[in-house]
Amino acid sequence: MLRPLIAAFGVAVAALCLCPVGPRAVDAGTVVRMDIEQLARSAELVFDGRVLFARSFRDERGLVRTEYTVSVATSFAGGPQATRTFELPGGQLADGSGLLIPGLPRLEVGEDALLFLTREGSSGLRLPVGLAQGKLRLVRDGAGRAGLVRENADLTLADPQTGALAPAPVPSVLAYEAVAERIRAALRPSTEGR
Amino acid sequence: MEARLRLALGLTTAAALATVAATHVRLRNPSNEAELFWPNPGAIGIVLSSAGSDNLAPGEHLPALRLAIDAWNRASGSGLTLVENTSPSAQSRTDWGNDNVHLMLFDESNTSGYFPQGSGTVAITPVQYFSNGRIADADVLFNGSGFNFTTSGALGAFDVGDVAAHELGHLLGLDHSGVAGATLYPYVDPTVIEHSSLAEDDEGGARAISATSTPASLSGTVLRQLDSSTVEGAHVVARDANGRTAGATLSGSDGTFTIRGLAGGTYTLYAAPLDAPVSVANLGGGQTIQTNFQPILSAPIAVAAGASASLGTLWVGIDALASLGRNYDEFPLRATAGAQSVFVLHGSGMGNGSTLTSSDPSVSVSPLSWTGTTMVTFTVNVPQNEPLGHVDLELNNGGLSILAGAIEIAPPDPVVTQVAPAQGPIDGGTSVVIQGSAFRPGASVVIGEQLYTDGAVGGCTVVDANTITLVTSAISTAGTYDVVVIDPSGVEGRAPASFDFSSAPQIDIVFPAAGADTGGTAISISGERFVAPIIVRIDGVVQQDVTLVSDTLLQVVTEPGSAGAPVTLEVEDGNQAIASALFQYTLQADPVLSMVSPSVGATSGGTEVTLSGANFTQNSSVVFGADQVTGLGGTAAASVTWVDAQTLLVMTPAGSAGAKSVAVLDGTTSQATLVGAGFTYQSQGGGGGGGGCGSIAGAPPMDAAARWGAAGWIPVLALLLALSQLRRRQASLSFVRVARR
Repeated sequence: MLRPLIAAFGVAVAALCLCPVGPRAVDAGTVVRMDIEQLARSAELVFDGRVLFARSFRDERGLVRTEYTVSVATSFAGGPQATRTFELPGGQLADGSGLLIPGLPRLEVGEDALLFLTREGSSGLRLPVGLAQGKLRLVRDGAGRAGLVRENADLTLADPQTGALAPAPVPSVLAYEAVAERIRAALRPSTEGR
Repeated sequence: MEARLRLALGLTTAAALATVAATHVRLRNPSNEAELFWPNPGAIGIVLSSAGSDNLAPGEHLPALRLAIDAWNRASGSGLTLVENTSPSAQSRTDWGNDNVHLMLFDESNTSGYFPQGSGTVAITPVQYFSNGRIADADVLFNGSGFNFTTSGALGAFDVGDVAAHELGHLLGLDHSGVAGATLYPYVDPTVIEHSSLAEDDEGGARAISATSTPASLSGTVLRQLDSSTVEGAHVVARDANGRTAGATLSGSDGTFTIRGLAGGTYTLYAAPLDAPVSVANLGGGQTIQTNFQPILSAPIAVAAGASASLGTLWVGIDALASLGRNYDEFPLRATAGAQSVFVLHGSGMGNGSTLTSSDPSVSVSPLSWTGTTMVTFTVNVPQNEPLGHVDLELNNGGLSILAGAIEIAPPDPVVTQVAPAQGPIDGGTSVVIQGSAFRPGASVVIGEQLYTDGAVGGCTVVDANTITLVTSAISTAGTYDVVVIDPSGVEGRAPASFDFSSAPQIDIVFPAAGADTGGTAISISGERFVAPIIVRIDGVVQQDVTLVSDTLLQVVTEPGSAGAPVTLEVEDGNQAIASALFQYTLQADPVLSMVSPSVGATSGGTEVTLSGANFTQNSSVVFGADQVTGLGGTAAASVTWVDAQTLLVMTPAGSAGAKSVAVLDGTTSQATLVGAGFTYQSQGGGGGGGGCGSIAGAPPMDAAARWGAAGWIPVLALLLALSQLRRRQASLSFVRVARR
């Protein structure tokens, strides 16, 4: 079980470099498709951590929004903070009513995730950059190694009998460190002083 | 195609347990799986914000949005109806969050708060719901602050119609579809503009929400061949006897499924993993999606119209090293009937030894090249007149991967070759003939903000494959617009800048069309859109005595000019827009009519009348009842005898009771003079009042009378008529006598 995971990470790193995604196409409901670098550059906050708390409520306009508190493990953009509290549109109230936005990812309390969040608008809302693309679920194998599941990406293939991996241009499980390095590189100031 | 790795990480579970999903995928309340629904699906109000996009001309967004609405309203067998509220007050609203309005709105300054800078979001559809799934409100918001929009395929902008059709599917309560050619497929290729064409899967979704009659359904349970365990969240697809994609659903937590919304017929079913290019992340939540298996085609199963049939078990095999389609591939793969198309798809497990085929045997697929194991380039040949619809693609390398509805069989693009006339007034009313090819029944035409749909009231008429006719409607902004013919399938033909809605003045008639070169001729210019400031020129000379009577009438007393050939008369408005007509100066003095005697006669005609004035010629003719502004119409005198330049003897024609104009026309020069209400017809039964006289003491010169048209004569004639009433008894004898002569 571990071997496929490790192999998957390797494939992921190679494959991501070949990923022919670009900003021209659009996604979900309706969103520009972005790669890791574009997500990082478009976001004001980039961090991973665990969702500690979620509270949905109606704002002054009567629209449901949800306040999340995340315990930050690693902050890539937006400065170091032990916790981050932010509000996303949508959510569900105690009476079962709610606001659903197709394409917007859901965050579950207790879930570990890497998030790319926009700056806060005048209404106090942030959004995951590129909606579902702005959330990568953080998973660990039995040895504690971290991977990121980009749930809208394609899947790494493995033969159920042999465990051999088939090539995949975009793996569903991305090596955490590889992604982290891409984020850092994308956010690093250009040597040309851009 | 999903494998142990995925299982090792845990199933991709978006939410709690799923129940049986309906065709195709419905939006759900994430907490209790309740499908979201409209309480009144047959009359869902929708309002198109009048503000539109700041990238588009005013109103340009409306036809695109209406086409998208119309596509959903036309979904076969569906009871869903979006009803547009076109009241200006509703269209001016922006409070999309209010439950009592369902808006399609371009948010140009992120007032919604849903489009912070960098969000990458082009459009969204917030859906507010109650616990039981009842939809309280849904609105479509376009991110006008972050993106550009187009209705003409402009590069770097998103097509309003495509985005709207997709988002309206969400508004109606549908989630994303795994059928690659569906409107609710989550990825849109901006290079393929198909506007609002719905796939059978989309229509099935609409029928699942609300059907006009009970459609057929197929049910069963998805089990693994390996161990007979159930498969949850499998993408179950029905393929009809022609190999066309007919419907789809997701299996529930116990592996059971029901595909609803089908027509009666024979189907082959299969369950495919929903992992690429559409995956669980494209769904709104509520489904558990298992993907570690490969499809096996079932035996054909028949179902009668409106009936239900059970397949029993739908088997799936062990996971395969074959995967077809990625989310960066550009869907739908549009293959034109009667043509060959070349496409590229990505995936895995490809290469020599693999086969790529279509589910419809008449649609041939031939791989041209395999690039490694991850890309294939292939041709698709579609016979002429092949029915439209969607076809699955199958990749087989020993294992099987099926991409549902990957190929969309589309008709040839309409071609617009000529639009005649190419110009018309902004207020509409112009009969237009559009010529071209590949026009099909049900086509629509878009010119500016107006949508003309075949057969609709105020729409267009598809005469044949080469001709469409319509009468233009008024639009709000003058300008030159594309003429776009849109096939019911969504493909379009466009003739750029082919019709000009003009706000320029328009001259219909100049009366009289000629006048003396000495000037002083009173002429009426009738037309449209005469708005101050107005300049009138004749042969380049600015006319000084111009009266703007109304937006359809100008009165001018001419300046002197040069006799000769007709010269240009121009009316220019404040925008320097110019309308032109012809006017001719002559050496001959204008006719002058100063007296009509008697001015009253029988409706049967035959009254001998003496016209007195000046400049009459032997070419003079007389007309009773001509239009006082245009000189058109009326009835010529029964006879005209030229006595001298000051006198004409005229026999009146028959006429209807009432006051009529009298016009003296010169048939050679087109000079004329006209007196409004110069002669009054009285019915004999009413006791005629002959003997009246149109001579007026102190009357203005006749050319001036003509200048003022009827207005100067009405008080005079009213006086005469009053006198006539007082003397009716005596006069009637005289009248009868005169009439009998």
